Amino acid sequence: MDSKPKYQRYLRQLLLNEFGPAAQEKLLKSSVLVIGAGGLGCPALQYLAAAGVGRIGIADGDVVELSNLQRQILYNESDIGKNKATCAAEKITALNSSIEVEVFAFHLTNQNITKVMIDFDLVIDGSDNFATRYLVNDCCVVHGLPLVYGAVLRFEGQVGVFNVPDKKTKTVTDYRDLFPEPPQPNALASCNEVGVLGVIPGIIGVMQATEAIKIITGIGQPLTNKIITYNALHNSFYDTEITPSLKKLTFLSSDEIESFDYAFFCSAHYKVSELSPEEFETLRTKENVVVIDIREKHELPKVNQFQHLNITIAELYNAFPKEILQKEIVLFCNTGARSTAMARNLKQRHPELNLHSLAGGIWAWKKQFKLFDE
Amino acid sequence: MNNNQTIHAYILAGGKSSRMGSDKGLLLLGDKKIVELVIEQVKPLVQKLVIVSNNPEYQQFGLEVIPDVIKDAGPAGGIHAALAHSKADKLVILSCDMPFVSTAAIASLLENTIDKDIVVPVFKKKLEPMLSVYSTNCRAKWEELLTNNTFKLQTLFSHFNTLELNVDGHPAFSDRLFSNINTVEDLQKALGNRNPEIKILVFGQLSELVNATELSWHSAQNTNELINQLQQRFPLLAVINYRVAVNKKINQNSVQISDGDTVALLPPFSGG
Repeated sequence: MDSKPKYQRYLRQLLLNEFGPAAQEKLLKSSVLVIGAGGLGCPALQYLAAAGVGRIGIADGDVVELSNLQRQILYNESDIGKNKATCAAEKITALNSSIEVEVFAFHLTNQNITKVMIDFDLVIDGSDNFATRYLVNDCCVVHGLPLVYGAVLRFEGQVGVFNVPDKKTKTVTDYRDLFPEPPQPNALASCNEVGVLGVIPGIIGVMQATEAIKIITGIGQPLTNKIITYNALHNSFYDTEITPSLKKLTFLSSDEIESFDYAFFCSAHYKVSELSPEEFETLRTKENVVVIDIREKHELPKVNQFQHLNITIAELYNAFPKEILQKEIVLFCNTGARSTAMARNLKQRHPELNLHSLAGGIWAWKKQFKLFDE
Repeated sequence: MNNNQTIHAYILAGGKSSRMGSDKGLLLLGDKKIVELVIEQVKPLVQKLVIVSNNPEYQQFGLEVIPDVIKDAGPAGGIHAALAHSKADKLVILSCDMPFVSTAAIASLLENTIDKDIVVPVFKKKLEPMLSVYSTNCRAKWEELLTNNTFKLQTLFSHFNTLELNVDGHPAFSDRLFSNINTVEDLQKALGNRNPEIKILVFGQLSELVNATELSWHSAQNTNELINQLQQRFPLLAVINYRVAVNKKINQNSVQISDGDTVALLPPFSGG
C-alpha cells in the first residue's frame, strides 16, 4: 500500500497532536496477540485492526455458536460452526487488508503457549477461564511481555495492565499479585452459568484495545498496577491500586510453566465427595475415620452424639494437623455449604487427602435421625 | 447438660413507646431497623425466632409474632408469653431495642445455663434482664407467680435457681450493649457511636452472597479484623477468595481501617 491511502485510512488519529505519524508508525510495526476471540477478543480485534496494528495473532480453539452472537460481534449467523480464530481473521482482514493476521486455531496449553506467544510484542487476555488466565499471565511474566487483562461477568467487567513497569515508581505487578490463588472451583460461577450483558465485554474489550494502543505508542498513562472495575448498573468505574505480593508463585522459565498443572491448580476437574446423612452414619463409626466440626466455637447446635474434633475454618487454613493426614476425613458445618467449599480448598492443597463433606450439614443429619423435638 | 437441647429466641417488642412516640424496635439506625440488628445477631444461635408484640407492624420481618397472654404485665408478661408458647428447652429473651447486642454475648450466656433455670447478666453491678436465658421448666411457676400479681423481675428471679452472671470486663459485653434506647437523644447518641462507619463496596458475585452492593460496617481496626467480622456474618465468604482494597488500594498485608474509609471487596472474574 502506498502512503496516500495509509494517510487517508488513519487520518483521524494522525490529526491528534499526542498521536501523530510517529505513534502510527509504532502501531504499524507492532504485533499483538489476542487470546480468545470471544466477547472481549472480538471488539479488541476490530479496533486493533482498524487502528493499524501491523501484525495481529488470534488464538482460539472454539467454534462459533448461536449463543455467542449476543456479544461476539465479529460473527454472523452463517459463521456458526466455524473456528473462531479463523473466522475472526477473515473479518479483520476484510476490515484492513494492509495488516498481517496470524491464526492459532487451537486451545493454548502450557505445552504450546510459549511458541505462540514468543514473537509478539504485547498480549491481550480475552480468555474465559481461570486456568488459561494464570497460564497466559505466567508466560507473559517469563518472557517480559506486557499483558492487558480483561474479564467480565453479569453487569461488571475488569480491565488492567500487567507486567509493565509504572512510569514513575518502576513497580511491576501481574495477575498473581491481584489474585495469588484461583477461586475454589464452583465457588464462583462463569458467564456460561450466570450470564453477561452483551455490551459489557464490548466495553471492556475496547478498553483493552485502548490500553494496548497506549502501551505500544507510549501515549498517556497506561493502566499499570491498577485495575478498573466497571459496573453498568451503577454507572461506576472503580479503580484499585495493586501492590506486589511477596507470597505469589513466580515462574522463571518456560520449562517451569510446562511442568505446572494449571488444570489442577484451578481444580477444573475436581469434585468433592458429599455424604448423605445415612452414608455419614455408616462411615463415621469405621476405624481410621476422623470427623471434624469446622464451625466456629459458639455455633449451635452442639454435637455430642458422636466423637469429633473441633477445628475451625481459620485453623484448617492456617495449620492443617499433620496427624490426621493418613485418615479418612469428614468435615461438617450447619448446612454443608462451608464444609464442601472447605473440602475443595483442602483437596487443592493436599491432593492426597481422603476427604468428604456431610451434605446438608449437621442440621440434615439431626433431622434425618429425628434428634430435634420439633 | 444435654447438648442436644433446642433453643428458641423471643424478642420482646412490647407495645407503644410513649416517650418516643413510636415503637423503638422499628426505628431506623443507619440503614436498618433496630430490631433487625437484634435479629441478625441472635439468629445464628437458635433454631427459631419469635417476636412478642401487640403491634402488627412487626410482621414485616417474616417471623412469627405472638401477643402477650397476660396483658399489662411489662417484661414479665412478655417472658410469660414466650414460656407459654415455646416447645424448646431454653429460651433467649431479648429486648427489641438493643442495637449493640452481639452473637458472642448471647452465646456466652448460653454457655452458662448448665443446671440453671435462669441466667441474667450483671453489668456494672446492675441486673440486665432484657438479655437473659430461661429454661422452659420455669413455665408453670412463672405463670403462677404472675397470676398472683408478682411482676417485678428481680422478685420473680428469686423464686428460681437463677445465675446472676457478672459480665464486667467480658470481651463480648461492650459498654454500649446495655445502653437501651429510650429517647430520641439516646438514639442520636447511638447513631453517633455507629457513625461514621466503614463503607464497603461489594463487587461481582460477592454481592449475591452478602445480598447487597454496599454495606455499612461498625468500625473494624484493620483489614484482618474486618475479614473475620464479615466471615462471621456471611460464613460463605470464608471459602471464596477476594481481595480487600482500602481506599482504592489492595495491600498484601493487613492495614489499619479508620472511620469514614471506603473498603472494596473484589472477587476474581473469569468471563471473556
